[in-house]
Amino acid sequence: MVSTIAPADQPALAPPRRKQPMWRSPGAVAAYIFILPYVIFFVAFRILPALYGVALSFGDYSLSGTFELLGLDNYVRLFADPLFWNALRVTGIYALIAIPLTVAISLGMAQLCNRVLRGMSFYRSIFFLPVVTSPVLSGIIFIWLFSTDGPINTALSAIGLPTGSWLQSSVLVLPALALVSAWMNFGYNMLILLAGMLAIPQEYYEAAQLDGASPWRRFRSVTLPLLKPALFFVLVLETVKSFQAFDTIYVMTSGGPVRSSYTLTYMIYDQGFGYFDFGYASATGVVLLVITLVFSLIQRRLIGRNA
Amino acid sequence: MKRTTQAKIAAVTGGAALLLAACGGNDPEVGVPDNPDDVSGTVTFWTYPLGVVDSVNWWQPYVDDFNEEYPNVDVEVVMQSFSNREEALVTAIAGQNAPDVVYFNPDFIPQYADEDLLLPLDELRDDWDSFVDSSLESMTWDGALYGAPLLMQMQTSYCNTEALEAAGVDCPTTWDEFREAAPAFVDAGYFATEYSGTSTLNHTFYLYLWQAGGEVLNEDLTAAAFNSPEGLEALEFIKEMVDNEWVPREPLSVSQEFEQSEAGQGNVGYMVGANLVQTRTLVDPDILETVPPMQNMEQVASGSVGAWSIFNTTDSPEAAQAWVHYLSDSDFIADFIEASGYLPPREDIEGLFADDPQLADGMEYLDQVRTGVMHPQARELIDVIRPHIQSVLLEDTDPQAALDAAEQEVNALLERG
Amino acid sequence: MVATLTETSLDARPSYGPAAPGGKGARRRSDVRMHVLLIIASVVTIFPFYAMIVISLQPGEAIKFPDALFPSDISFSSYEQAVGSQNIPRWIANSTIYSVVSVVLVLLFASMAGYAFAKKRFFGRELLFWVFVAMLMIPYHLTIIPQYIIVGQLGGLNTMWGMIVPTIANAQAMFLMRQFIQDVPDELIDAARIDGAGEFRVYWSIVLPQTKPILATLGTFVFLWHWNDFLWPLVAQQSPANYVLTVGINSLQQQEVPLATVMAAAVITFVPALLVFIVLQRYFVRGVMMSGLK
Repeated sequence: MVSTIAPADQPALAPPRRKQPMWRSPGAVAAYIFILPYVIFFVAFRILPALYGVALSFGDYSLSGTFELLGLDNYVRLFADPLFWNALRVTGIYALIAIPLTVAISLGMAQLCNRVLRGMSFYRSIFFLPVVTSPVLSGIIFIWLFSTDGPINTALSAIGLPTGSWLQSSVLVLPALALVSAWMNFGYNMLILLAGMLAIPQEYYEAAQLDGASPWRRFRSVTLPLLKPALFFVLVLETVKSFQAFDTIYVMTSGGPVRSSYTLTYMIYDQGFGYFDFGYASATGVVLLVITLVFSLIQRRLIGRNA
Repeated sequence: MKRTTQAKIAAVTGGAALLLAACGGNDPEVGVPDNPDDVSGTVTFWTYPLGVVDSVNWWQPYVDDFNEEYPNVDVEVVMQSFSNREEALVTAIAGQNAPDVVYFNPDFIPQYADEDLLLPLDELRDDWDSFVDSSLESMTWDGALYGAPLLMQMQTSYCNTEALEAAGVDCPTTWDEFREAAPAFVDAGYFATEYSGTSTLNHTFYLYLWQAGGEVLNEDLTAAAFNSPEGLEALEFIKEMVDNEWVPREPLSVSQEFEQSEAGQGNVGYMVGANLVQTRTLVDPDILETVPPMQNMEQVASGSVGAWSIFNTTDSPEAAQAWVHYLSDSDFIADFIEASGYLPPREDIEGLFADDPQLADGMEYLDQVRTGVMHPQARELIDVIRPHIQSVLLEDTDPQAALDAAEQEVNALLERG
Repeated sequence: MVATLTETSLDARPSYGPAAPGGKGARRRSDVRMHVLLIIASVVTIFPFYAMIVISLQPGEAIKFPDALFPSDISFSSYEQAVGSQNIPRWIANSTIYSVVSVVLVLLFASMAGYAFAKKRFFGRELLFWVFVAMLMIPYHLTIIPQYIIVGQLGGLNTMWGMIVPTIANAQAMFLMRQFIQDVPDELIDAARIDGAGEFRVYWSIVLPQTKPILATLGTFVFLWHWNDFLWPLVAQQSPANYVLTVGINSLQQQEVPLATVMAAAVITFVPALLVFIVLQRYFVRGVMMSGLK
């Protein structure tokens, strides 16, 4: 939940209002004073840790403060470590399940809520409740909901679907975690998509209706194409979230069973704070950084082509 | 630079070295001064919820009592939590905030003693011979004693007499008897026993391994020894329980609250090892029949020892020792055992459990108790082996293949150090 | 741009959805169908909360499904246990301090910096601003270890200030403040200057009051984010007396604490977040919508 408020994409800086000498003016001095507290904290606790994290990955750090340069040793070990490849695979599979699931549910719910209906704001508030719930609480509740004789299995068998022992199975544990993530996040995405839907001029729908387009067809040919920016934003948000999923995994499975929910972020925590192997954990973190960067580049490309 | 646990320990040592340097390197002397008034200082004392002794308030009268003799010692009781236990310790040590006196179980001792962080306690008392030998052994590393035992704990084997009656069997005490009784328990609507796939292996896989006559590591602790016929037999025995649904499935991968577990609800026929005091809070003691520890090749019960250790980083070693001395006196241990229901590590405490034969019985088997693997990386070994055991039970991995894989990982870990 | 969007209210808009064809009857039928769907979705959404509450109201025994969902006798003993325990009241206090102090500091520093970035020209402005925004790309999990080391070296582990300090330079908050303050009319600021107001006075009495809506929005987010935060408090605090609620509840769950008590503690944790949401819902929704706009 770090990225509660993501920035808009290309903000334009305010145009200069007055022509003045740039950094001697009283305004500039005041500006430095105004940004100083923020800059100090930002440098100390954002920029420094980021650089430090990359540096740590090339060495070994002991809690007493000694740092020993190891060169690429951590990476050599990492790429030979089955634990890492497993974590990479788990992260990928989890993302492949969680992203489409969450986006699909969010989209469906946005469509459902995109109408004038008595009590709609009440419904929307309800759909929003999971968003304000801590992932820890969600995890604790869902452990019980997913238990073998628990409500979810009962509901499944009631409608004739097969049941599973969700958290005991290395096949079902990731879908189960993805379901929790969808439950927690759909309200947020739904609002973003809803805002996008509201921005679609109604004339388009009226025109489509005059052409005799079915509701499904109207959704596909009017809503979806015009919703692309909002949809893309949700997609990016969900990608980042699924790469960084940690809290629910920590609470619900501790990476199990049989390390089948041992994601990259869980590995960073485990190696870093479980074994205090900071260098090794940081190398894992750098890999996560590279993956995140690659994905956002790809997404940027795609947006660029589609815009 | 060594990695993982040893990196952790090295880190800790570094912190300790800094701290010692800061104190001017005065090496703490062992032994308590003659005049209690001369002893002063603050003792930060980390304890944990030990059964029903789970609040700072319980400790206060004893601190007051101690202060009558040592008025100048300030004991600060900190109730820690078992979750995140190691992380808390290492962080505190590294942050130069280490406790002075801490509660340790056996597998912590090699880890911290190996890096010279603990104060030897051999000279602390002159009546160590009135302690149970095995309790002292479990706190000894490289010939020095590092923990003053407070309690012994044995996972008691018991049967539910209602289940016995319904199934028409006697309470098993060997693997073969268990194999016979298990289907009968199940037919009578009970689970035969319970197996936790998430808890420490000390009470689960290791226990069956030891009963089969196997060992986790070889004698000089340099390589895995569990990939043996005994290890395979133990793992196949557990798998047999799972495959035949003699055990509930949930605990194989989820740790349940005790009152939610089948054992806590009295739905289990036989428990190979359970915390008796805790069980009796939920299950009627009258339907519990305690039996000797289970036996296959060996008769082994799992258990633990709880003891007080002193970090040699302490600012007031004399005060810390005085406090630990007080905590290992028979008066205090008797009170503690009475309150908590654990077993006493001292042989000179009379009249305990006079009206509690179930607990009293347990004292006969203290010699059969094994507490874990005495190795500085004991806890990491468990983290490495456990997923392989789980994969046999949950995913039908071939037991031999799982043992092979686990052995390989363990040996790599031991080699890396 | 932002100012107009913050006025957007979802319900103030006319209907855009696929309107039902046909007469009034068809419309009503379609409405009924929609209500049914919405109610089903609501029940599914709310069910976990319902489960949490009913379990917390059981006397701490084995909880059997489905009986547990329709409790015949309700007991508050789990709440008594939770509130009467040594730690939970402390955890509530810790969570409150962590969240409230952070909100105040984040808003203060972000609005000061946002004001400078929006309304003042100075050397390095663009570079600094883009460095700040670029840092949003760095995964949190890469920086948390160095952050932990830095706080440790400052002596801040296991302290409240050590937990709060690394969280107060919030790039997203600064970014939004800057966006919003850009829309504050320069004439207001100039007028105040002509009246002889000093730099800080302009910021405090002119700019800040203009940004109340965004302060409320950001404040809600920052509060909820801290209230629900887990990983950083988990590693920054090591003694149970210093835990925040999320970490504390997780530790309860790992120990021999009855499920009902864990759930009671969970309800206690949820209620403040719920209240904040109900009271500040308007701002919260606004914040989400703003985040989705380009």
